[in-house]
Amino acid sequence: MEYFVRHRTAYRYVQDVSSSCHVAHLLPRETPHQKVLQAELLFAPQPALVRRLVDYFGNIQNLFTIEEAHAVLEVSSESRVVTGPAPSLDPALDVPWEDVRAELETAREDDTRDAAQYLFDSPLITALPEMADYAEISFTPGRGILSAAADLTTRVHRDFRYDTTVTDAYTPVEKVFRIRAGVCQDLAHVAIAALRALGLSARYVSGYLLTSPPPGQPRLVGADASHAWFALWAPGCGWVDFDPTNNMQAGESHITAAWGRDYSDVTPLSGVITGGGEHIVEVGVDVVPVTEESA
Amino acid sequence: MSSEKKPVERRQRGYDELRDESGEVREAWKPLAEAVVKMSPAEYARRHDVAQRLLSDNGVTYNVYDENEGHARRWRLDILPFVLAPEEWAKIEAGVIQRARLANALAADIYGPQRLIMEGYLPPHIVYGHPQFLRPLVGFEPPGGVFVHSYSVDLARVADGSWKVMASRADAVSGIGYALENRIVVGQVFADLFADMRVQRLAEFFQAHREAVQSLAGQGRAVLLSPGPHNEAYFEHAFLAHYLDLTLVEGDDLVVHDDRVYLKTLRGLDQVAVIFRRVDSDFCDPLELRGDSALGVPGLLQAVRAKNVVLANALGGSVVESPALDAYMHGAAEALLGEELLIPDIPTIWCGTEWGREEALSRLEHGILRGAFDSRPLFSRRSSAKLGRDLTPAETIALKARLERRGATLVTQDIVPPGDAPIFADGTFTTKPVTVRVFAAWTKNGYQIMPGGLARVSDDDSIKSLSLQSGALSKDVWIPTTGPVSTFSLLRQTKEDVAVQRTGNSPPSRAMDNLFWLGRYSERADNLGRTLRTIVQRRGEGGDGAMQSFLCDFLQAVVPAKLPRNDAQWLLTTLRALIADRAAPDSLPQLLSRVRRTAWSARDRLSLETWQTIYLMTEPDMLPSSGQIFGSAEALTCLDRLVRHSAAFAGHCAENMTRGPNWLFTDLGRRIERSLHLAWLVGQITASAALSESERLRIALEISSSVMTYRSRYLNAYHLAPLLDLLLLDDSNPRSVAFQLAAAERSLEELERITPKGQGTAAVLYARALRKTTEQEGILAEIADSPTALSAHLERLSAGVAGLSDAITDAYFRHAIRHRTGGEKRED
Repeated sequence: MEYFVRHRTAYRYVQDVSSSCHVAHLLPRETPHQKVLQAELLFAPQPALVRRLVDYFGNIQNLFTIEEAHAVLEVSSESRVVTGPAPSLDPALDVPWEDVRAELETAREDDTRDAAQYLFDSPLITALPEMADYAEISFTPGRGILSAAADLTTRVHRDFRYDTTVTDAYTPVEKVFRIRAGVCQDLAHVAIAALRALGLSARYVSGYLLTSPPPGQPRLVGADASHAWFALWAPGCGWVDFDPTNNMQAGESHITAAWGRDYSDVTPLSGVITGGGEHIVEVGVDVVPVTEESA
Repeated sequence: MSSEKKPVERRQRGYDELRDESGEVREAWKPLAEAVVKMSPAEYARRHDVAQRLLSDNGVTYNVYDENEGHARRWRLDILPFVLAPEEWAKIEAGVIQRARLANALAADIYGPQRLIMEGYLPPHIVYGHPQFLRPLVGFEPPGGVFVHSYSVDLARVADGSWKVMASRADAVSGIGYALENRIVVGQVFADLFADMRVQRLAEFFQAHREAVQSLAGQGRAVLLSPGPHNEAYFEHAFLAHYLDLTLVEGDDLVVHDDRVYLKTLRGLDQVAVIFRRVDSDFCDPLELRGDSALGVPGLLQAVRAKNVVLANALGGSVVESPALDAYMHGAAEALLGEELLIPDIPTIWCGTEWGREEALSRLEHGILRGAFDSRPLFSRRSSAKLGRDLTPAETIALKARLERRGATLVTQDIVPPGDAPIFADGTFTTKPVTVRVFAAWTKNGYQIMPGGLARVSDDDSIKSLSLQSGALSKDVWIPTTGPVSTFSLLRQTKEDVAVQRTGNSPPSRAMDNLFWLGRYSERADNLGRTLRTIVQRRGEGGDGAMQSFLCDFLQAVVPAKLPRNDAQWLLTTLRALIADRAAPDSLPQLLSRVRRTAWSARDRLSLETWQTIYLMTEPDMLPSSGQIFGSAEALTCLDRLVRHSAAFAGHCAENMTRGPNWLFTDLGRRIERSLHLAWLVGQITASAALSESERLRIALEISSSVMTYRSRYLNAYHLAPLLDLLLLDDSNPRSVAFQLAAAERSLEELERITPKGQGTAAVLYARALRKTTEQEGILAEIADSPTALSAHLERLSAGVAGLSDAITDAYFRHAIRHRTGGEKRED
């Protein structure tokens, strides 16, 4: 499926910002299931310096600095991507999850070595024993890792209330786990913490989701928003993406922007400003399917 | 552990540093042991007291500045040095230099090719799982390939006499400054012994290190980056900055432009070439590392990657400090250096393997369990280390589950009883467990070791009390030598010609801001002290109801009471609170603690003598404590002493400070505060009608120290006009508003001259216009005749002076505040 994605962020400051520097993870990366045809960042005002890097995780990272005084900063990412369907998983790969843990502990191959990055606590995710207990309800002894992960996804979807008012971007996962509520980022963090608490590798994926319009209504541009889910490492499959917010395996409707250990590795846009005082932020995301006619 | 469970176990006795197996004093200790045994207990006690006084006079502290206590915790030093025989030291030297090389090679491999991981010497988890493995720096090689410029290890001696590494530091190394300060003090206390024993000196080590690091960088300033005055080791940062001639800075003082680092100074931006770093790596750049860090410099990583600045140490060194890595050091030494490890770590097993878990369980009763990446000193405040035998049954179950699920996050270590160092008291030696911190630094000829170190002895016999944070006693470390002793000191002139100059490097703006407020707070404390002294005195003299009612009015102007009160009890309680209550807002103790805190923040800009005068003035036990009952006599003694110490500080500034920026800003602060105080005082005195005018005027003259001047001019005739002239308009009286404003104007003119054109102009013009209001034709007659005109004039004056303070801030300390943005809004 081919999409046009626009992710626009505007900061409005009460006072002028004299200078600022930012890090953006706003451009989609290539994945085994995703091709990026075109991707660019647009700025206003124009930065004095823009540096495009590939970060440690292979994401596209932009560092930019604005040195003129400004009261509004707008950053837009525009891209065209093609996604493939969720891979269908061979039931033969649904191996006992304890075997996967043992394999990750040895970590002798390139892929397991890389997966070992995601076994440990990260800035926003501390895996506590009670999260292991929570995970063990799905991860019963000897159960296949893929079916257990699908079950965990369903339980997180069911047990955690979707609520945009109870958490913020830096809410630690312990709190989310306690209050049993949050947004997509928080749900992904909970699932990751639960998996890591068992000794499994899980990573955070940020991206976009095509939300289907209600039947008979046109798609509302701007109603789509940035999204997040998690991926689990399993032998033979590599990384398998699960979306606990929508209780599904991530597939053709999921566009991947970046991945890391948790949200803090792939924050879409963060920065340090000098001056400025209070500010408000507006974020708008459009995910439009490119049809034969409009392409 | 609950108290009834087990009796406190005495640590088994370790290696005796002082005596050999037959009870004989060891060769290296003999001169020292004989000398102190010969000394009378009184003589030894005297030397001990001298040392404590030197430490306290020098302001040597450790630990966070404690708001409640009002002072930082004193550094603890036992004067009896810790002696290491030269042949023993030679072994340590070789071992620690090898460890420093290994630490550097490890960092180079971990941030470079990761050969150890690829070839199976090191499980990837030990690097990738470390929270301080700084991914944005992977692939970056610092200038000269030097990651670890300075390095330290904590050594413990085991029963067979060999040494083991308890912990190592390769990121932000601390303790060197304390070691130097210990040496300064102990070297003085035992000067004769120090010379007789031919003890190796410490200083040479530094010069070579500083020059070597500078040679890695291009042109530019060298700074020492500190987390700031709230850091427990701030004393050391100020001390080292002074010792090594570095500018002491905090993250806010630095800014990155075009991938270059600059220092914000009084005269503009000044490029920084070298940063001696005392801020932990992950706090150094809020943009790419920890976003919640207020201690760092946004964009620093880009400047680092562009190689426009040298950080010493390079960022990311913590990853080689982890206990998990200790388990693989032998292999690493072999693979990276092709050498046998000379001084091993305490026996450590990583629990990320089946074997490791089995070992951990089998050793549970006599081992330590600890977070695999927790390099905090064992058993320090937030250390994760636990003695297996202390675990409750529930904790044991939880631990077993954690081993099973996430064994990779744990290590098990053996309990290593450290050796015993002698402590001398009351004519005899006792012993306490000891560890020694040894420092190595990179020079052009490879790593060099500081011939000495920081020994720490535990207060009790438990193995849990040896970390700096738990307040262990420290000792100087003496290495006697048979060869010549270098007499090199950093304080000696270098051989190169020095160009004569009258100004120093341009100072950081923040430091000037601190000095400005030091001037203001110290003057404010002085004014409050004088005011309270007069009130206490008058109250003590008894007198009529008129006096009491005046004093009540007056005190209400100092501390606005919710309800106006006019009774003796209220007067007494309020006075007591102002003099002694540490919790009362704007009380004297609060103000003094603010003075000290501000001075502490500018510690590197103040000479030792200046610091000592402030120290005396602000010593918390100078005032009665809150709960203590005290009478007028005691209060007066305290206030007198405060005023005297404050005069000593002012005199010190006047006589001993060069008229450069440090003095200019301190003095500006003082002038501004005194103008405000005088305007307030005159306003209060003239507004009240409770007491006869002449009595009130005398009180004003007393508080403002102008009695003598007044009497020499007008004898005992107290009238308003002469008083207003003397306190407001007479620019020859150092206690008049006119004098303050003229002095402020001159200081601002000088600042304008030494800063970039235009920067200070507005402040000068503002000061000049304000000063001219005191010279207006007919002003005296106008304000002396009309109370309304007087109060309007005083109000304008106060507003004007407040405006002047703002003008100074605008011109010189406009530190724009940084905020973090990002992730404010997420949706689905």
